[in-house]
Amino acid sequence: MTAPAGLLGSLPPDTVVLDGACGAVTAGELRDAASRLPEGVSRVLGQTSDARAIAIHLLASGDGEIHLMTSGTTGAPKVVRHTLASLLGRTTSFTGDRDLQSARWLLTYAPATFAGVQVILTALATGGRLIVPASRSVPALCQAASDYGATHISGTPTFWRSFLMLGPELPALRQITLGGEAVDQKTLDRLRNAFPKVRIVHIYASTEAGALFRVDDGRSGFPASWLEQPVGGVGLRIREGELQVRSPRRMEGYASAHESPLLEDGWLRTGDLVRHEGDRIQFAGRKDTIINVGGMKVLPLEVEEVLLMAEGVAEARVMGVANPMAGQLVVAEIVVEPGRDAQQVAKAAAAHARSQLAAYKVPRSIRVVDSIAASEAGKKRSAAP
Amino acid sequence: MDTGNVIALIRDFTVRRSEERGLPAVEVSEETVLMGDTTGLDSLDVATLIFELQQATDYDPFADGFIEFQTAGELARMFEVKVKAEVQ
Repeated sequence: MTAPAGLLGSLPPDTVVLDGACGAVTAGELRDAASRLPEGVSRVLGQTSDARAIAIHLLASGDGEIHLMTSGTTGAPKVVRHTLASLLGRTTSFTGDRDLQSARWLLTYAPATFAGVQVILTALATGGRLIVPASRSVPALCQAASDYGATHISGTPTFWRSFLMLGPELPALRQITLGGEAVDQKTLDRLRNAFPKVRIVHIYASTEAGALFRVDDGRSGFPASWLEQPVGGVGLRIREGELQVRSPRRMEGYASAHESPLLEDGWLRTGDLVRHEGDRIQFAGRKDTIINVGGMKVLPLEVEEVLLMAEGVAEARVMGVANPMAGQLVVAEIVVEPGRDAQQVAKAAAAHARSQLAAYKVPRSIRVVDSIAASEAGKKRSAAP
Repeated sequence: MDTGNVIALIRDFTVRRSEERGLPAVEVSEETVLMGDTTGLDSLDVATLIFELQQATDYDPFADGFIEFQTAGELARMFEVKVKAEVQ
């Protein structure tokens, strides 16, 4: 096979490129395994959680398509058609970056997801090393990060809030990346306080649109000026409150029978609702998560952000429940910071919500739970079908 | 759970609402009209009250569609149906 542009570059065969639960895997082993696979055929990555197998398939993909599956809460998964080129994007331009050559990336995402593939490809393209955890529970991830001296960790805000509760010491850590969900200011601030010397960035990407942009100024959302001036070849515009993008790294289309978010003019609907606040565009929530309370629209994200600002609230999830009078009502689950009185925190969170939100947005019940399970993709809620 | 107990839950609810709003508590009897000036409850409050009664009784009298009601007693009797069913 012909080595895809940039991947593994000219790494010596004995360079360890994957480590952790998969054992030490060298560049030579990966190249050999990839060379035994047929080239130029379409590959569906949705069937394995084996990071090593995915790395081999990516290496062997050549000009063939790579199909990624996105899981919905119901219905058949969407199959998204990409190529190695669209997935790699600008990653190969960092090849030769000394800082990245010594990087140790912790894989917190499911390996076959778009975010997982991005982390695997970044490590392979820049000569870094990928740390594969034994399991993707947050304690196991912290342990792997510590054992293998992770320098770069990319995870969802949901992952990072759990991570902050465990409070691991990671002296080797150089970069924190948040992706996969909208980032709230409090989570950014808490990470900044816990890791004052670490670079903190949040990225905006989707399986359909590909990698779009990164924000590194420590503030949630992104600069409103980017609507006027494309960033990294990505055009951004707002239509009826929804963010639309023109992306050079977007998918080819769906391989499955789903309505395409691609518009006739080449732009793509993201499903993310945004609002303009001064010099900033803030993410308001996913279009498909809207709760309808007596005809009034509530975005769970807005309510979650308010609950997270309340003293002692470590994590919050807001959802709608069916109601015969109102259609739906807003209810919430919260996780309380260790050592706090759960009932007091819940009461204070309810009072805070009442003081900050219109009545129909205030959760009608706030239940204290031990943990809020993340989906396979590390998100608080699965993408809607 | 009989009507009296459901009425007690409704009374509980109105007391909490009044406290949250810094208003004097209102007397709730079977004849009290739930929504409006007497109780100070709006439609969102009554929706919430139904939610709480559903949680407390683990029963949904509206499973087959909305049923009209006006007074505390009418609402309480809908939830009472479950108690009778359980006794039989």
